[in-house]
Amino acid sequence: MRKRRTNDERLALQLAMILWAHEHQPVTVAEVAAHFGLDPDDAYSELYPLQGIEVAVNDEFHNLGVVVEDDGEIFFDMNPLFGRPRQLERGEAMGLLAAANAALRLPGTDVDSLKTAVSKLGNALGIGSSLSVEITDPEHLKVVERATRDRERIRIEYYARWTDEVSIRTVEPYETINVEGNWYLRAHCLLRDDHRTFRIDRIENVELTGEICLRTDPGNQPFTGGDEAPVARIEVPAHARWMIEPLPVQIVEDDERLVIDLPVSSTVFLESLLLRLGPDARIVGDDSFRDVASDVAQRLLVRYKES
Amino acid sequence: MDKNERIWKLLMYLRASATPVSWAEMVRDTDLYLDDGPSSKKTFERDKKDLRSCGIAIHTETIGGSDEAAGGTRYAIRDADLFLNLQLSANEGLALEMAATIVQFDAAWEMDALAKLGAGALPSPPPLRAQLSAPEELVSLHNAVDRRRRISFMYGGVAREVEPTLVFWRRGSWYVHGYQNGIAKNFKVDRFQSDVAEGPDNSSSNYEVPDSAEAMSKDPLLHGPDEGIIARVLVDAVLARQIERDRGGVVERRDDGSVVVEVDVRSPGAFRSWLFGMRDHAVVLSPPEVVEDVISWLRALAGAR
Repeated sequence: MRKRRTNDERLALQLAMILWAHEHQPVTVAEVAAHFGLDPDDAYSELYPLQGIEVAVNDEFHNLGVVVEDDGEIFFDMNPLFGRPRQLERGEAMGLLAAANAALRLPGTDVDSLKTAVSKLGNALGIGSSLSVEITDPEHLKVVERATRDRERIRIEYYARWTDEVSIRTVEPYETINVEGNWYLRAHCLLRDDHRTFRIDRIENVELTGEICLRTDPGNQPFTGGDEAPVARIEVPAHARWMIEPLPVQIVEDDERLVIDLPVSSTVFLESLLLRLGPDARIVGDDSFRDVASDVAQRLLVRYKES
Repeated sequence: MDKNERIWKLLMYLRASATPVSWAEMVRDTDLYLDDGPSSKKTFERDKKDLRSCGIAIHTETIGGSDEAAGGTRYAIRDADLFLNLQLSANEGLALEMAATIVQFDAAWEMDALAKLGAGALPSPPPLRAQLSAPEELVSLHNAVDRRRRISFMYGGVAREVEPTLVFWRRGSWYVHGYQNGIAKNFKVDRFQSDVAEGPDNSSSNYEVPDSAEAMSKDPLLHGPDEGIIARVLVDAVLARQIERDRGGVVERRDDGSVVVEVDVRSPGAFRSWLFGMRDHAVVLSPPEVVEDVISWLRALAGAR
């Protein structure tokens, strides 16, 4: 069954499919469908009508040269007009080059082939690589990537900032993902017997266990916080705006004063934020967080008296 | 005629015609459009737009001479408008596909590019995936750097004119590095308060292009004046390994597992942010002026109930 697509989506898919099929012929519709992640009937219904594309120019007939046999095999009689990769728009060219350059520094890529591909792309596109993507490569990323790829359990020593505790856990990796510049491991934690997300630069130590993961990925879930967490409403001094930019906060006022709502799953993070924001910030609204800043400041002052 | 079929035939016709063709010739020689009236012309314009959105540019040229067609437009799709001269080996193609699956812009530029290069879906998702934001200004900024164009925009409530040299992404944010009145500066793209206006090609001076680490130190504590003061900070055992791994600078190890690290303090705000990120797991030991600054900050907080 053909999926609903806009005209330009349909045309783009057909162009991509005939280009790939042309380069890989002899090829079947089922193989094209598998390559493009489509249902075979969907691929067939997009390719089949292309057989009838024919125009006359000065009494000479031109057709696309696509023949889809009843058994699903596709042939190309000729394709001088279309059988090559198409030009890229600026954003596409820039995005592909930047992605390829960034991936060069990450584990799991075929570095030699990628280097020559990047070089060919840069030359063909005629644009410079003046877009730099810095993706951090924390100490344990390589082992975590390998465990994720091989579906192998790992034992990690992990510092959880939200609880301010170090723990040792065995986890079954689902996915290793970089969001907003930080690497996270999404995994099933055997210690908590639940789905958890771990920041990879807070993994103190990691060991491969040799044991195979038993669970299947239930899909992405929110990283932290969530709808159930109580919310602290904070008035933030204007000069400290940069501190809240990377946080998952909701801005509730941003004219004469900056007021945010921050979900608080643990007061550990709130303490740290209020210390950083300083005396010009203040909790407004819920009284339950009103003393958090002064309490942590007094605890710290005691340490300064002792040292 | 079905729209998809018509667009394909238009594409075939313009590719197969030896020379550019006019709208009148298209109507006369094909069955693509009913007549040369405004409604058909509108359909043709929409078809052109769909082709353009698939990356197929239609070349236009003005008809010369003095007959009734003069001043009109002829259309063609030339090789240069359509094809990318790119000969990737199978391994190179796969490596690019893998790279674009690992590093993804939220505008999906790289995936659109791969579709045009004939790539499909990878057989299995990659073990790593990095998601990058793609702010609207990015294409314009890259364009400006690549073509040495001056740019102007509002930032911090002030109109800026900048000669950009580099656009870079770090820790979840995009920055443009460039020169304002000859002084090197970094601007965070999220904080732009207007669209970016680009000047003409080569309107920017030929500055040396820095790498991103030269443009802006990777260590936020080093942002600020060139010279700072060295502070000694005691970090508890629970965070000692992490701090040593991330920053180094350990000058003393204590029996309880805590460490003393030396930190170059150039911006008091950035230093306090780093220090208090560790809450009561870190204490400044010296010099006295930094200790006093931290204690004053804490006293003000402790009193501000």
